[in-house]
Amino acid sequence: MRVTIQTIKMIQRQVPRLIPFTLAYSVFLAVQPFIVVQFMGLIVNELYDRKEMREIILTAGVLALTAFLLDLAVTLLANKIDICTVELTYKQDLTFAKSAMDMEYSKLESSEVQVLLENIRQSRFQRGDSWAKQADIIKKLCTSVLTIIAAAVQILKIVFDAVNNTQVHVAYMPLIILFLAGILVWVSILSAKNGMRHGKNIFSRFGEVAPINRIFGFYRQEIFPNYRYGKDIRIYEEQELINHEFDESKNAVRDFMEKLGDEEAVFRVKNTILTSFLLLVTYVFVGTLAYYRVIDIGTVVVFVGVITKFLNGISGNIQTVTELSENKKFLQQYIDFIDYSRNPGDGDVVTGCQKEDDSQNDAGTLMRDVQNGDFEIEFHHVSYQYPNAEKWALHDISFKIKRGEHIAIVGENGSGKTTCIRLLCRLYRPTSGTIMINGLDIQKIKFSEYIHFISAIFQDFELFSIKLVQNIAASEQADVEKVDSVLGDVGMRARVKAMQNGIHTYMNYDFDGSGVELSGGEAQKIAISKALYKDSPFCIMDEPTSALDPMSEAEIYSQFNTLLSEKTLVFISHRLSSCIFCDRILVFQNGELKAEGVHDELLKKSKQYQKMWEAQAKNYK
Amino acid sequence: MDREKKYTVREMLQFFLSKVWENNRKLLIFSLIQIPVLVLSPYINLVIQKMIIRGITQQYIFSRFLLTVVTGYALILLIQALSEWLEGRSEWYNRVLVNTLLKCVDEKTLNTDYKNVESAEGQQKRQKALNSIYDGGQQLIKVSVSCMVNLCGFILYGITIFSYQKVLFLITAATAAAGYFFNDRLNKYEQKQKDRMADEDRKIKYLEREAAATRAGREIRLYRMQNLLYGIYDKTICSRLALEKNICRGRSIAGSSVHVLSLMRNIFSYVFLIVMVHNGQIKVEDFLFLTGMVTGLSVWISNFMSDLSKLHRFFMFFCCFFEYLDMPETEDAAESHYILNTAPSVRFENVSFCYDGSAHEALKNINLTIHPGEKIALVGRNGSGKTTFVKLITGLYRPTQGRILVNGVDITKYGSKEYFKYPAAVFQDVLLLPVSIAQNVSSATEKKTDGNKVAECLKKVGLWERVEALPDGAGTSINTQVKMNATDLSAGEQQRLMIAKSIYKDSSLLVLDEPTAALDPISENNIYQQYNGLSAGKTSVFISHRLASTNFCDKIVLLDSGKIEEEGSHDSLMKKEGLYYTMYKEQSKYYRKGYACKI
Repeated sequence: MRVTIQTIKMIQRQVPRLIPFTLAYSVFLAVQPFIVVQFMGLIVNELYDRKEMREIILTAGVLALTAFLLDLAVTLLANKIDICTVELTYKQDLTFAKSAMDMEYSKLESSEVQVLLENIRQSRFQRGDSWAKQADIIKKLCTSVLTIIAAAVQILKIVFDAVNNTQVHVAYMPLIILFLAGILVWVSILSAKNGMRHGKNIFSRFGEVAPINRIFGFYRQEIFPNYRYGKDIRIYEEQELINHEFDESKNAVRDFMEKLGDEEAVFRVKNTILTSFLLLVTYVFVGTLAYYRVIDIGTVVVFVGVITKFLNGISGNIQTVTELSENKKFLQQYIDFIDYSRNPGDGDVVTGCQKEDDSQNDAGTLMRDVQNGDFEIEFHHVSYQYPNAEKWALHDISFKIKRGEHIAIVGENGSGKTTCIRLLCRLYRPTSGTIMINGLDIQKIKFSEYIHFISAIFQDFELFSIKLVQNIAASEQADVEKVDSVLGDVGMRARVKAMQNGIHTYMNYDFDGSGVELSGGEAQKIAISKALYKDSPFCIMDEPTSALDPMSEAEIYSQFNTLLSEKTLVFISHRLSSCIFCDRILVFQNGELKAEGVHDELLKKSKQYQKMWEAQAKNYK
Repeated sequence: MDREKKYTVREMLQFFLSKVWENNRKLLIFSLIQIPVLVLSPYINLVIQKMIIRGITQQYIFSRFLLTVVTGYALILLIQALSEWLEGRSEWYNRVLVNTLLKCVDEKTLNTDYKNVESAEGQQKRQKALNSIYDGGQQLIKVSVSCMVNLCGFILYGITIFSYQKVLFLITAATAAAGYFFNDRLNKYEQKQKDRMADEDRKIKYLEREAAATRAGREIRLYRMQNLLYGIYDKTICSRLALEKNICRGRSIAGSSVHVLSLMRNIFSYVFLIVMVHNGQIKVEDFLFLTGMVTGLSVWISNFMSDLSKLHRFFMFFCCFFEYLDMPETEDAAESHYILNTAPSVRFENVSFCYDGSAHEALKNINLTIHPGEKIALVGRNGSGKTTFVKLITGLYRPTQGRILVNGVDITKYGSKEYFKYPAAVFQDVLLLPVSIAQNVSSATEKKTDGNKVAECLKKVGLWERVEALPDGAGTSINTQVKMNATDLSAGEQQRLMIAKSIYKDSSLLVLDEPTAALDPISENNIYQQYNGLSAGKTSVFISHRLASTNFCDKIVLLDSGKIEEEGSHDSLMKKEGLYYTMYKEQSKYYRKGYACKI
């Protein structure tokens, strides 16, 4: 119930018109058949009583016109509701995307959130958008509830009229009515319960099949659309293997769906029997009344019509209750995801502490200093362990980065280099220890302000399929001249000029058919130009040139030397030759900082460094 | 390439039916039973209502009356229950149909010529094929069933009304047909908007995915791109909604027109029937029965028409699907069986290659002979044509001009599927399947995997100890995100696994395409060390832009802008003082002794 109210509030906030439209729609829709039935009864009676033809035709005319107006209202409102529903789904998607982007990175990356995301995607793929469904359920629920109420009112009216018209059955009437009402209530409750159980069952079934769906989804989303797999698949003739694996999960999904279908069938038959039982009671009851002329034929028509509607209302109700309780669980996943983005811990000290914290560390001055490049960073016994991992990714790391220093981090794959850099970028929080900037714990600074002074390039950077200039400037407003100059710095100016729309060309084809797909090396150069554009006092680079050929690599490094000479720089490289000019080299091994110093020193004192250097150098002798 | 082949609806239907029969037999059977049930259920309702009223007006004896009511009820219950039973099943069964159709597309992706998969055009084709399935495939059976139901209902009701009154039938049919006209115009309008909608949908899908992706997530956070992306997303949604609004306006107009028509029909049929009752031509219960019939008939007709136009639309879309399935799987006529047991010789004769739709050639007039057992190092800058060379030698591409001879036989004569049996290749981008380690090495199903051979291969690349220590050994699955109890390997280990895979294949032609680019110096060196052992007795090509790899190769080939610029041994090329010399000097200068001391 709490979830349902919460979702209605959310809907109200996103598309305020939806609920009023829905209510109006369901009133019209619920009332319409009863009016038609009443008129029909009237016409039948008039026909039966052999009234004058003109009178009957007049009644029929009024009926047709009323029905027309009601139909019109229903159609127009239904279209309005459709629009609102589409709007709702998109707005919810937007909110979802915003939450995903605002969420603390380590949360987004965590396996709980990733599993949640995958489950949300899969259920959406298989059963459609949960919010559109929710709007639809609310619509159905309103309609069926109103139908039941309208029908109940009319049933009572007919029965009381019948009682008033005759004295014969007066004694039994209240009992019979009570009996009828009792059965109606009992059946409704029974069916609703049944429906809720079924809804829960469906959800838990989806949970059971989630692992298979993940495999299925991986093939569908990762392997088939990715042409790079195509090379291996053909050369190693993996078609049979993939077919086999894929078929297995495909068949498992099929069996699952079929099982669900069988359960659904049994559930529906049960409900039909329950509701049809009511139909029998009504038919017998009304038929008998009419047979003994307690009520007239017109009333029979009305009564049967009303009861049929009533039963429709009940079975509609059962269905919507089922769907509601099923859908609730899926919406809960959505809400859970949104909740992850509420960061209680994001550092808000800097902007807030100016008044509260009157120590020497005045935050405003701090950020000004930092922005001017006047800062020192210290890792103080920092350790980091990935969630659910047994080993420490980093263990007890302490070092300092002084202003204007160029520092290289080297080490084998998996030695903790990248983790160290992600900690520095605050993508993760240290498990223990602190990272400090001018003596202040970086976690205490507001993220958006902290990240302002870092330009970072990751090994697996991402170019978005938006315009090139938007990629570089990371904003809608770009300084075109600056963009041009950074493109020149990385040697991409001519290439970009040759593109159809210059710097306004879209990347890849997701956004625009006329987009351009860059090669790995070119994309990497754009990533570098992005960092240069940001022009922060502190640069962090994780293998910035891995996709470049040696000549381009040398060019880029010589550019770095001039462009970044004033800035503080930390970079990771597997090419030890690029570390020679660094002020300091940090050697990582198995998550620990094994040695630090300049190249010559390390060649003498660090075995690990020596080994790595020798491994590369000997091939060039 | 552009074969103008149009599929007839019959061919498409045949294809779909056979696929559904193969994979979702139950769905097909249940759907067929559904048709009569759905037609008869409202008809029987009307008949029984009429019977009961007749029973009352004609004063049957009470027991007979009761019998009518109870039998009527029993019939309704039976039909209702049957219909619900079928519908409950088909609702879920239907959702599987998409997977069956998707499978057809995926099978094509696995088997068609590689260039069809890699090219932007091929990828767009694939997307279109998938969209046609999502649009049409999901509802194909549902709509077909409903179309049949509506047709049968139309016939049944039509005959009933026709037997009472011909004019009434004609009027009803005419108004329904006129209503279809409005709906059809709307459909055509919607169709026109479809392309634009697909455009916006693609953007939305992309943004939705990127917003929650981890790799993109790092970039977004570090460059504070939230506002930029949010703004773009918002804008896209607005233009998508504008399209939706246009369509809804059209729907309102069409819907209103249809209601006007049914107002006219209702007035006419009421008047007509009232007059008939008044003249004693029909009874009162027939009046009720027939008004029900008239409403029913017009619903059947208009639904039938709209189903038909929906089906028509699906089949129009399915052309994309069939177009994709039609992509060639070139199977060159294998003239005879050549078997490569020992290291082959490879000769490129005037080979040029040009990507489809590209203006300049990626490789120009390459002439190169690789002797049996020779180790070639292929070096060059980014974009010099190295990767294209690999695709040609492994048989993924066919030369645009010239020919490639393996042991003196043109590789097209091997038959392309056949030829894939010979080369083994290791690429820079490691892509592991979410199956067991053993299967990743053997590239085969569990049954066909030789466990001992896998162990041997893993030992050769030094991974066996690591694998043996895992709870399920080589049976442990890869990729913890996808499989339970799986494991993840580090980049170096993954690359070694790929090498094990190439060993398992027992091939005599080995191609390594920058296998060490992502590796640390020690792992890189390990692979260099193993290379000699791996390539013993094989013809091999090692591609790298690290010139160090030339050390253990017999011959160096330097590609530049698609041409062979220099060719020869390390020493001879160094003497030449050409491009190779410059590149080598540049790369090695820091590694040479004494250099560091100078600064």
